Order: sequence, then structure tokens, then C-alpha cells
Amino acid sequence: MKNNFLVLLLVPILMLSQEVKISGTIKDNQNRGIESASVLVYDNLENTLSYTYSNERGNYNLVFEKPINTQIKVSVVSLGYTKKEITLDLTLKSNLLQSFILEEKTEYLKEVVIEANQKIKINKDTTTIKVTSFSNKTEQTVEDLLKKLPGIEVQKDGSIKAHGKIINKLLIEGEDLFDKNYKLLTKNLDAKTLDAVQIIDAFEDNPILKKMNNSDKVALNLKLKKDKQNIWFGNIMVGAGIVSENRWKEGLNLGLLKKKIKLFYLADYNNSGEKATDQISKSINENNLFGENRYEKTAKTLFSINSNENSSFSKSQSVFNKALFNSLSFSKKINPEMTLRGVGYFAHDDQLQDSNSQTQYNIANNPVFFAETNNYSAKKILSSGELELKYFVNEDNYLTNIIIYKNNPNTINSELLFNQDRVDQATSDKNQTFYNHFNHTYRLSDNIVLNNYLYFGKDNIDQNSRIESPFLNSFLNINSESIVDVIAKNSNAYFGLKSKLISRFKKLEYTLGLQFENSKEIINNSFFENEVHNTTYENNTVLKQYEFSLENNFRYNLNQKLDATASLNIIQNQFSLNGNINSIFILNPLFSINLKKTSIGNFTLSYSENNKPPEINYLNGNLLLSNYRTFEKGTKYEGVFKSKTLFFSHNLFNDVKRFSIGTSLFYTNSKDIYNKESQITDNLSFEKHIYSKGSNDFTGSFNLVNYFRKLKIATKLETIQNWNETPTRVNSTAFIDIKTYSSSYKFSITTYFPLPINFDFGFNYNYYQSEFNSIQTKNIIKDAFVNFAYNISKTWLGEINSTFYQMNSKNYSFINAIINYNPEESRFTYRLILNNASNQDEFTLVSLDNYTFYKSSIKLVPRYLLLTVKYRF
Amino acid sequence: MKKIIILFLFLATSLSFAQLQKGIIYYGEINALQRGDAKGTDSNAYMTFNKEQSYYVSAKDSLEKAEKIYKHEISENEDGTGGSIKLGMKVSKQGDQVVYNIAKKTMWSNLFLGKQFYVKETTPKLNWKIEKETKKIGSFICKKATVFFRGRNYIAWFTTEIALPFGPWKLNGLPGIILEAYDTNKYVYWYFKSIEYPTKIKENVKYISTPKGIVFKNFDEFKLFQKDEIDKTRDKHRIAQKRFPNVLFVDPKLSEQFIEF
Repeated sequence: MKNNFLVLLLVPILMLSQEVKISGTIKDNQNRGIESASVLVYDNLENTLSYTYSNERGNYNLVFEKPINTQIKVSVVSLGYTKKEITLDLTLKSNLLQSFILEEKTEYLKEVVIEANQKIKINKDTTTIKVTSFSNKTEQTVEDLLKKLPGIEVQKDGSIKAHGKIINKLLIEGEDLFDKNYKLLTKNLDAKTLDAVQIIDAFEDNPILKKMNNSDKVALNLKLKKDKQNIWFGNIMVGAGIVSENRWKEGLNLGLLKKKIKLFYLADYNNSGEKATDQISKSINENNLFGENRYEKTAKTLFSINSNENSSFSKSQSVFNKALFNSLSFSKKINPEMTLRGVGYFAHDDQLQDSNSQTQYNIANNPVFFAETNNYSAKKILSSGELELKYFVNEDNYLTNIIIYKNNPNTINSELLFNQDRVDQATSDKNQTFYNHFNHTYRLSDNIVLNNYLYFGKDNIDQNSRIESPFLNSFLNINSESIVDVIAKNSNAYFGLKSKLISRFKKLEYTLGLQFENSKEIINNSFFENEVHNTTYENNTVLKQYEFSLENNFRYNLNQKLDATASLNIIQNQFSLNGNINSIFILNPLFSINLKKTSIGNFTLSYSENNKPPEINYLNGNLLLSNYRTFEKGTKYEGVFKSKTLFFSHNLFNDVKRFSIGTSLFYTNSKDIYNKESQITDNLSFEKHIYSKGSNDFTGSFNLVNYFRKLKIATKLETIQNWNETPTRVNSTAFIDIKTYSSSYKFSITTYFPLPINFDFGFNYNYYQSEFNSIQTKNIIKDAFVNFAYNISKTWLGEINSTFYQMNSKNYSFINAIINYNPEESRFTYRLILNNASNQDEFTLVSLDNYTFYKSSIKLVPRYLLLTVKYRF
Repeated sequence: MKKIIILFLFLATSLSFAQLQKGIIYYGEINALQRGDAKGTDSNAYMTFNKEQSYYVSAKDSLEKAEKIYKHEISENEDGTGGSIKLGMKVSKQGDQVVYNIAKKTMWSNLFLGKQFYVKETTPKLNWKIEKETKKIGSFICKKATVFFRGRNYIAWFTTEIALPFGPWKLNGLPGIILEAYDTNKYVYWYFKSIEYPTKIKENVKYISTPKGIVFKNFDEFKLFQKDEIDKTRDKHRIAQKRFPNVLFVDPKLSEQFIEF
């Protein structure tokens, strides 16, 4: 009561400050203070005004602003006691004393929530990368964009690696449309359609093998932007040279993505070096120790005409080609268990390539020297259809079948000046290919799966070649204006069956494979001198093989740091060459040990033997013309190719001292090979295959990367060293070892300055040395490069790439520049490409190949400025 | 005699009852510091508590399956500024722990980042704003509360039915235990799995012990450590970038490495 009086006295003061103070004690019914009881104050609308916890003596104290409505509720709770609530009126008082007595109660709480948050769980094998994060909006195709994503690498030939492995498939919205020809999509589909890219580790298309959970394959899944779903979308690109008017780049993308059907039409026409036929893979061979296999065999092309293209440059700098490309692909769900997929494409290349070259063979005391001026033209067409049916019959059975048909006619002409004399060569190829793959996967138990693979196919090459060479004619003792025709019909037909038992236990993976394969290869060529047969240079080689093999693969995962793989392949081959039967027995072992995540880095050590029967082109009985100045001859069957490989690698990443080291050593010993014996005359060469000792090859590479924090630069030092010893027989009766040594050193710096411009520059030094017949030759190539990227503004971006080469005391410089303008919220994008700014017109390359000194000058694509406009719909 | 024994037994149980009974809450902790949207590693966590103290632990190796720990993952930022490659899940033997003792007004914690870092600090005062909104988690009616704490805006769902100021990690001071909490972009997300109170489980409401020669640092020292870690990671990225030029590495940010910054 006294207290209340005191409170009453204080009220007016508190009223002024508009604050309410409540305090008191919380006790149990034995008059003991309750610690950590919560006291909550609510207004009449259940808004929390204030709260506190009682102290160790059970006292509490609350101060809060006076609410508009003076009715408040005080709630007191403590674990192990019943809750108490009272209502108070603050109209009169602002300083209240309110104590509570709580009743003890037995508290028992048990609650399990399972259903929550399932939806946010991410698939453990999938990594999603949102592309806007990595795009600088200059990317044209999906490929350009993939190059920038973490974990993904696009290789020079367009094939893609993700998480360090070549991808098995490229999916669009989870659907496989292109199978192995995914380059068609990545090189043509507009980058802007992409929303996200998913890297799927442990990818397995086969739903039964997927359950085994032992895949080490990787796939990419492209997720397109939401507005691309269920409607036709695409883009049109138009580009023209605005300085040199003969440059073009046109493209069309059309796509439809619906749940039941997915469809793409992609087309491109350009004359900026990118070839259409290069986008399509020739044949696919996959040898997966613990999964499915795929085999595709090809026939041999025997007569070839050299284009003298240079692979060390980008294609836009040195390839003169008009490319036309069209493809239509679809994937349709017939029913939930059955999918039909198809691709049809047509690619056409029209290439003109001029070059000058000089060749010198350093043989004994009289080197052979000649010069060639070559005008090369080629028209290549590749059209194909591919159809795949996938049928997931039930939980235990999965069937797939792929049929592939390709038609690939090529015509190549070459007008040549050989020293002073005119040589004409022309070939026309008709190449037809058919492959079929049937797979049945059957689940025997949770740990064991049986895969039956039936494959067959045929590759046919009909080649008509016409040569008009005075040197060839004089060798053949015919009139110097005579025409030589070589007509070849080569084929490879085969079928095979492979049954594989795939099992996986806790630490052990084991597969047992049994394979039978039957193949028939034919090289059949006729040789005409002015339409008259000359059987001396004709061959009819028939090779039939019946092969049985037994394959055993083990992988033992000892712990997270160590695993070991062992494999043994036992092959029995009935090798029948022109009716002569040889029975061949082959053992191919493989061992490898992986040590991962140790404090001194990761280590791999492997040893393998690769023994195989010779291919048919080593076995022709007569001389066969393989180009206008070379005859090749095979030998009878004498044994198998034998080689051994030893590999070691070490990688260490030390982030404390800010460096990383990578080392790899690779040693190959070819014990027995079908080597060549060469007879080189001034105008012709003759190569005869001989079964003999092969080469020894040792390659070591090392790289060191440092980051200097204060300077904000990263440096990389890299070297590759190679030693090779190859027994060679040129114009002599005995094999002499050619010893070559090559080394390359690369050093580069990347800056990380906090500026809109940053640089990437460095230099490379390449040294090549060869020794043959105590003649030593050396060659040195040096180059340096500077690239810089400049973010002019949000919508304007610039890039300049320049390279300087020093070769044989000649200097070359290349400068390319790109400006990109991307107006915000516009359907249009503009892009200006300046190619070969310094207008270098010719490039001379010197190469040393064993005893050959080869110098070639190629024309370069002259300076041009190309403006492209892209419209998206 | 019998009566005495019964009385004694009764007293003993009621004494232990009145004394410190412990409870345990199992949480899921999703760390999506680089991508947000709760798209990140989902790890197991638990909190033991009594009326005086709480002990929270996550990223503890014995709580996770081995294949999850060694899983490689690539993640990226939602705001489009970069990403990083994560080599497996971050775990340590003792886990990342937080101990909060009410009477001592102190919080002890440790964080594993290559090595353990131990922090002792005065319990941070969180200025929670309690809202009217409620939702049910299991059978508990939870109230919503929001706060800005060390770089992030948090939303917490607490229940007054368990009137203790504890919560996952360092979130504390609400008039009821926190069953679910996340920052507004879900870079970090704690969700409720189960509770038992009282529990006989062997995990205690323990303290953090440091190895010999290692002492607790204060929060300022922790901030210096964070900056140093960021510098180290950035340098590491630049080395990797140089080594793998076809892969893009983006500079790290404090917010992508740490819950608090």
C-alpha cells in the first residue's frame, strides 16, 4: 500500500516523459525467485510493446513508451511453469509494480518437423551457374559464354570440358538434342537466350546405370530464359564488311521449347574463316571402364591433297572459306517412357587457299630440295541424319537405339608449281557412313547391372583422283602429258556385341566385359595411265578380323585420399589378311594410383600397355599413290603394335605462400611399330612400312603460378620439354635414330589494377633441335602478346588483342579489335570487328620435322572491318 | 523406512527437476553466402540448452555424411558480381560452436576457416522488432521478429512457448526460443527439425575448450582475421586464374565468406 502511494507520487513526472515502467518479482509457490522467466507486454491489439527476462533473483524491470490505448496485457512464461497473464490499465498509473507467482508444471516438448524445406534442397550432383554473372554482353554464341563460366573450358576444336572432363552430353532444358554433335548448338545458338548453365557431375543418361551412382561423366544443361518457353523464339544476324566489302556474316536461330517437343533450327553463312564441316564430329569412340561403350569404325582415305592451312593462327586470320550451315534438331516425348530424338544437318565449305613452300630433306650428303606454289580449292559437303529412340521399359530395363547416316562428298583441286613445272591434282570423294548402336541395360540387383551393347556399321569411301605430273609420268615411263587416275573403293564394315556386368560395392567397383567383334576392311584401288590399267600400283587388300575379348576392371577406393584402379583386357584375334590367317593373342594391362588432398598436393601414377593389331593401310602389298609425289607400300602381317606408357603428375596449391605448382611426366616406349623406310628422290618419295623398333618419347611439363599481393599482378611460368628418339631409315639400309629435343618457355603477367583497363601480356620462347646423320638443325620462334579490355561504359565495351611474332629474323604483328554496343532494353545489338589491323598480308612459317626442313608462306586474310547487327525476337 | 526412501527419491527427482534440465533442438543450417535464395550446402546443426546457457554447433564432421563433406561445388552470387568454386563442405572435428551464458552476459564462439579461430565477446545486444505476424512450426505458434545484425537483416520466428532467449548461431535475446531464422535474401537459413525437452541425450550444454596455447580473441581481432582471410582468398583466386585462364575467378567479398561482417 505504501508502495502504491509512492508510485502515485511519481506518476505525474512519468506522465510527462510518456514512459511506462513496470517492475516486480516472479516467484514460485515456495517463494523462490524464478530466473529467466520472460515477461512480455502487449497492447490491446496484441502488438508486442516490450519484453525482458527476470534475473537470478526473479526480478524484472521494463520501461516502454506509453501506448495510445492504455489497456495492456502482461504475460509471464518460464520453462517448467504455467503461463500467467494479466491485464492492466495505464490510464492512471505509469509506474507499476507487478509481481507474479507461477505454478510448477511438468514440461515435456517433443516435436519433429520433416516436411519443411524439402523444396530448397539442391540436387547434390548439379551446379547451377547463372550466366548474367559472368557475361560482359559481348558474347555472340553459347560457346563464347561458356568460355567465361567457372568450371567450364571450351577447347580449340569446340569440344567442351566441365569440371576438368570432356562433357558427355549437352542438354537443353534437360533434354538431349544433339548427342555428340553439341558443337552445332554451342557454335550457333545466341548467347542471349541462356539463363543458366548447370554442370551435372556424375551424369548418367541411362536411368538404370544412374542408380549405381558410379558415373564419372559430366554433362552440361542449358537453361533458357523463361520467356523462351512455349513460344517460337530466335534471332537474325546480318553483318557486312564496311571497309572491304566482300566480308559477310549472316545467321538465323529459331527455337521452340515445349514440354513434349523441343526443336531448333540453326543456320549460318560466313566467309570469316570458321568452317561449317568442322562443327561435326567424324566418329565417336568411347571406352568407359565402368559404364557404357561406343565404337564407330572408319574407312581410310588414301589419296590426300594438302591445303597448307596453318593451325597456329586463329581461323579468321588465315582461312579463306565460305561456309554455309543448316541444322534442324528435335526431341519429342512420345509418352513418358519413350523419347525420340533427331538431328539433320547440311554443311558446305568452299575454300581457296594459296601458299608457297620450300622443303628440304637433309639426307646424307645430298639434300633434296624443292619448292611448291600451291593454289588449293576445296568444296566439301556434309549432310547427315541421326535418329535415337530411348525407351525406359520399367525399373529394370532400359533400351536405346541410335541410327546415324552421313553423306560426305568432297572435291578438291590443286594447281601446283613444283619448282618450275606445273602439276595438277584433283580428287573427288564420295563418302557414305552408316552406324547403329543398340543398348539394353538390365538391373540384376541394387549393386549389379548387365549392359548388352550391339553395334554395327559401314563406312565407304569412293575416291577418284586425277594427277597430271611430269615427274610422276617420267617415273612411270609414259608421255609427260599423260594423266594418271587412281580410283579407290575403300570400306570398313563391322558388327559387334559386348556384354558387360557392372557392379559396385562399398569400396570396390568391378566390371566384367565380354566382347565379340567381326570386321571386314577393304582397300581396293585401280591405277590408270591414260585410262590404261597398270596393275603394279593396284591393291586389293582384304582384312577380316574376328575378335574375342575379356575385360576385367577393378577400382578400389581405400579411403577419401587413396584409390587404385587395375584393368586387364585379354584379346584373341583371328586376323585374316588376304586369306592368310594369323591368330593373335594380346594382353593390355593398366594400373593407376591416385593420392588426393594431401598436405603436399595430389599425385597420380599410372602404367599402361597398349598393344593392337596393325591397321589395313600398313598392309598393302603394292605401291599406292598417296599424293602427287609419294608412293606408299605396306608389308605383310608381322606382329602387333606394342607400346608402354608411364605417367606421373603432381599438383600443389599453396595459398599461404601464394603459389601453385604443377608437374607432369609422360614416358612412352613403342617397342614394335610399323615404321617407314623412305627413299627420297628429287621428285618423288617412296615409303615402305617395316615392322621394327619404335620410338622413345619423354615429355615433362612444369608450371609455377605466383600472385604478388602488393603489385596486384599474377605471373605464370611454364615450360614443356620433350625428348624423342625415333629410328628412321631414309635413303639408307639401316635405321638411324633421329634425336629431337624441343622446349618451350612461357611467361605471362595479368594485372588486377583497380582501373577500368586491365592487361594481360607475356612472351613465349620455343626452341626446336634435331639431329640426324650428325647434322644438327635448330629453330627458334619467339612471340609476345598484349591484350587489354576496356569497359568504356555500361553499354559500350572494347577489347584489343595483339600478338608479335619473331621468326627467322622476321617480325609480324597482329592486332584485332572488337567494339560492342548493347543499348539497354533494345532488341538490337551492334558489333564492330576489326581484323588484322596492321594488314599483314603474308606469313612465313618454318618447321622442322625430323630430317625435313619445311618453310611455308601463306596468304593472310587482309584487313577488314565487319559490322554486325543482331535482332532478337 | 520405506516412506523415507520414497520421500528421498521424490526429493531427489524434484530437485534435479528444479535444477538444470536440458533440451535439444535440431536445426538445418543452409549456407548460401555466395548465391542466396537458400541455394547452398544444407548441414546439420543442433542446440542444447538449459535455463542458463545454450550451446549451438554446426559444420561438425560427425554430423555429416562423408560424401557430402567431399562434394565439390561451384556457386555464384545472385547480384551477378562473381562466384567461387567450393571444394567440398567445410567441417571440423568440433564444429563451429556458439556458447551463450545469460548470467555472464558472454558469448564464446569458434569458426573454422582452415584453422580454428576462437572469439569471446559480450553478448551482442540485438534490437529486435517484434511483429504481429505469426506462423506455425510444428505445433508451435511462432512470432516474427526482425533485426539488423552485423551486415544482414534477419527475420526470426520464435515461440514464446519456450521462454528462453536462445537461438541458432549468435541470434539471441527474443522472449522465446528461435525455431527458424534467415536473412532477407536467404544467404543463411536456419530451419527447425526437431526438439526434445527435457532430453536424456548425452550432448551437454557445454563450454568451448581451446587447445593449449590458443586463447580467445575479441571481436575486433576477429574482424582483422576476416580481412586477412579475404586477402588470402583473393590471392588464391588470382593464382588459380593464372593457372586456368579459361576459367573465371572473381574476387571474394566478406559477405560471401562470413555470416557476420
